[in-house]
Amino acid sequence: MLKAYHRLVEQEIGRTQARVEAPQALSESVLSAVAGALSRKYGRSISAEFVSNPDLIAGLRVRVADDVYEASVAGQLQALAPSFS
Amino acid sequence: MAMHLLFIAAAAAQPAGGGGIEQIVREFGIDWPSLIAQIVTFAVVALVLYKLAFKPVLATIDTRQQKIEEGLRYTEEMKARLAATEQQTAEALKKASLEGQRIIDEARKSAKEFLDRQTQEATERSSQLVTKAQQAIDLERQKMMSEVRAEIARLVVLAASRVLSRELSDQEKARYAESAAQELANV
Repeated sequence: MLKAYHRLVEQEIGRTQARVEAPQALSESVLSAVAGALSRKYGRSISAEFVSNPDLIAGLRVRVADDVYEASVAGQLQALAPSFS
Repeated sequence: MAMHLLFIAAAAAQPAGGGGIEQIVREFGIDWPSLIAQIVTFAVVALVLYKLAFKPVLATIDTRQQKIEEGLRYTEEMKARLAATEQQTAEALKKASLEGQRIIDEARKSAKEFLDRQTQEATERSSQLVTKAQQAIDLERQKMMSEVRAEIARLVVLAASRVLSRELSDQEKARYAESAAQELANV
């Protein structure tokens, strides 16, 4: 039961927190812009947390709960790969 | 014997004027008692011979003749039967020969049909095998091409990733991040 409660708490926290991945440190303005855009979109206050991910090459990837917004070079290259088949 | 009797009757009928007959009798030296006795004796002997000899012999001859005729008739009958049997045998042989030839012809025809059928089936089977093999080859080729394309895509993405990682400067990466943030805001 505690695990289930813990999971529910994590889900609630995930709903109000955005995980922003980028290959290098982002400026505060960028993080604020991302947080503001997501807050407007979801209709609630969302904070942005930066996580370094060099594999993205450039751009960023934002994850809010179960939603993922892909705006990285690596993601676009991966999306391009099936078109060669 | 009849002639003797006639002479005796003529001599008895003409006692006085029978000169011609008496002359004949005198010239030939005929003795009437002995002549009559001889005639009677001859008649008795003839009768006895007829009864005891000629009749059985004639009967035997008739019997033998009858047997000979029966034998000849039997022979002719057997010859006719033999001829008929030979004809039947010849017909049966001819019929059997024709039947045998017919059976041989049918067997040849059946063998040829069987051979043709087997050849056709073998040809169809080989054609099906070739078609299946061709289909398998095509599938394998498509699979290989798909794998090659996937590998090429992977290598292209990898190469592009490595080039971009090396070539993009920090400023360019920062600009890209800003651009992505703006794009996210417009979503």
